[in-house]
Amino acid sequence: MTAAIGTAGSPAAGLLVDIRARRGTFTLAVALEVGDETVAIVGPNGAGKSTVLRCVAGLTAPTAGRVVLGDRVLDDVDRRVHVPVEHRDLGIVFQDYLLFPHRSALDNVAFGLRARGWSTRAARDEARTWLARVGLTDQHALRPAALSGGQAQRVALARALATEPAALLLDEPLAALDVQARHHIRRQLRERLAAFDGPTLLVTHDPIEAATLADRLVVLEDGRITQTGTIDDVTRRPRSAWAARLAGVNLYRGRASGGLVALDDGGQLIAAGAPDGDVFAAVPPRAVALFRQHPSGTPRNVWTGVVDGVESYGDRLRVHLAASPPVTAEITPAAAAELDLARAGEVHVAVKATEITTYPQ
Amino acid sequence: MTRGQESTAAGIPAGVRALGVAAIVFLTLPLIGLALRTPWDQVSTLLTEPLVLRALRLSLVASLASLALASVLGVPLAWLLARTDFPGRRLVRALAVLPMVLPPVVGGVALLLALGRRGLFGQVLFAATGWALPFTTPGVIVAETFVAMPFLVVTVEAGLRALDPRFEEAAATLGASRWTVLRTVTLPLIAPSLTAGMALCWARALGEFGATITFAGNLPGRTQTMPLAVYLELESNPAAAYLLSILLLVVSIAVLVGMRDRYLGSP
Repeated sequence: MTAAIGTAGSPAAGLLVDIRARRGTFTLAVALEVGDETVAIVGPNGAGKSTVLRCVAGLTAPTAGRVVLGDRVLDDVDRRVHVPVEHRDLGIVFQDYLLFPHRSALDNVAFGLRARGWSTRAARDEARTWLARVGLTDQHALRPAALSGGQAQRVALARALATEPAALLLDEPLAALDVQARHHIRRQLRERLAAFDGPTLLVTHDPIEAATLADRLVVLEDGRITQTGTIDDVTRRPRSAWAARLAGVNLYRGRASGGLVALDDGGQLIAAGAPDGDVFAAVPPRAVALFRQHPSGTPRNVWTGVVDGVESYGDRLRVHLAASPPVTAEITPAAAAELDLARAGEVHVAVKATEITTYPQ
Repeated sequence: MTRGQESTAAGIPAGVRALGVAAIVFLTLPLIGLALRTPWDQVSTLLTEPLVLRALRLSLVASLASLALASVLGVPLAWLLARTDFPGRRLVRALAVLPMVLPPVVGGVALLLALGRRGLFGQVLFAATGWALPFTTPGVIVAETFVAMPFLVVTVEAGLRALDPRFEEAAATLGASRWTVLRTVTLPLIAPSLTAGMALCWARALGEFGATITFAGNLPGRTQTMPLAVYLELESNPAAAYLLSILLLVVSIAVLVGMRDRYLGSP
């Protein structure tokens, strides 16, 4: 894969990452480019998201490839270039913030400036400004242990921004927050990221975080990029199991011929207008109907399965069925009551041919 | 440290309880004896006795100097042991800890054979300068450091191991050089271990007897530290010996109280 993915921002001002890294038996091979925008690396746990961030930060050395920020080469394995962490000029917000426990909020924010030779007084004045920018005015003297989760997150952000870094890296920035704080802080963080002038690389496993904070997604699975694009691209045309879960759709791979898709993992679907060849077939759960009796009526995809699990999803229910192919249906509680889901036995699954989206692999 | 254990006195066999009480008596009686026999009314005159004063001053100087030496050498060693993986690391750790279990007199003999006037390295030094360590105050410092440094190394190494290295990574990403990270993040975060290690090291150096008397001898004012003076004066001037003993006891208790969180558990 080449690095020419991004369209936003000129390469000269952006962050270019084209690296391989190895950790035990796990290998990572990633190429991506971040302009003056926010790109979220998303994907399941263990996909290598944090390793990408550590490589960019200089905390882990890639085994091959390059990291370039603007006109500065930070890593070039072939040419034995490896700029040490402290000279990379990056702002990093760590997953659990890593605020220095022995320093006040103010001195945490001032730390990077002090390290750059600012006087204590000037660094503290600047730190005060940054704390005010993230909405903290009364907590300067508090140690991290005395801060709430949301306050600590904002101190961490202020600390990362205070040195006015060339690029910003965020590792699961909201993961440590409770649900209520997360909503509030997420909105704030979005504003701050928009105000930041430079490439921002965000790592998250939370689809909502990715969707609300990032301009583009890079889906990373098992050390490989499986899809890149805007939230819209990825959710409308998922190309992996993770992206399909993000979009909340049933995703199948198969081979289409004359409107009939033979699925790789068994079963088949009639999909109106499917292009011949290897395709993805996406079925939104709301389009999946469930019946106890074989449904009669218009030509449909009908197959049988047994209920594998039920979870609430907003004011509706998601019913997972073990079937060929396996499928998730989204139904109303009333419909679920009518189906008497607790009762064992077969359930008929029906999907209209026109509800299935197909696109080439 | 054991915490939160329910006291279950009811379930303890009578024999165990009796032996436990016997142990407490065994540990306390000598201290009571020392406290009762100390000539408290003579303290002010005893404290001005030249012998006591010299021993006090020498002990203070030598123990503090050996604490400084042990810190300068021991903290980097603890760092290497905690943070790096080099061939023979386990052996080095065993060597670093050995003086804790080695009979001090054996340490003294070993120092003599290595650094004495006719010792392996000592003779080179003597041939070059006409000077040798044994029977000098620097000799006392060397003997005390040899015996006491392991306490510092072990404690600081444990502190470094318990420290999340990602704090140091975070500091580096903020632009801090290695030295700045060490000074502003690492050392402050291991300060509790560092002070505990230094207190233990100092207390051990202050009480050192076997290695000191073997390697440095017993010269008043030069190598006769407080423990040596106690031993020597026990027959000729018992009152001074008692007083020096109680002084050493007070210092030990002070060190223990200072580190109560670490060794005495929470009340």
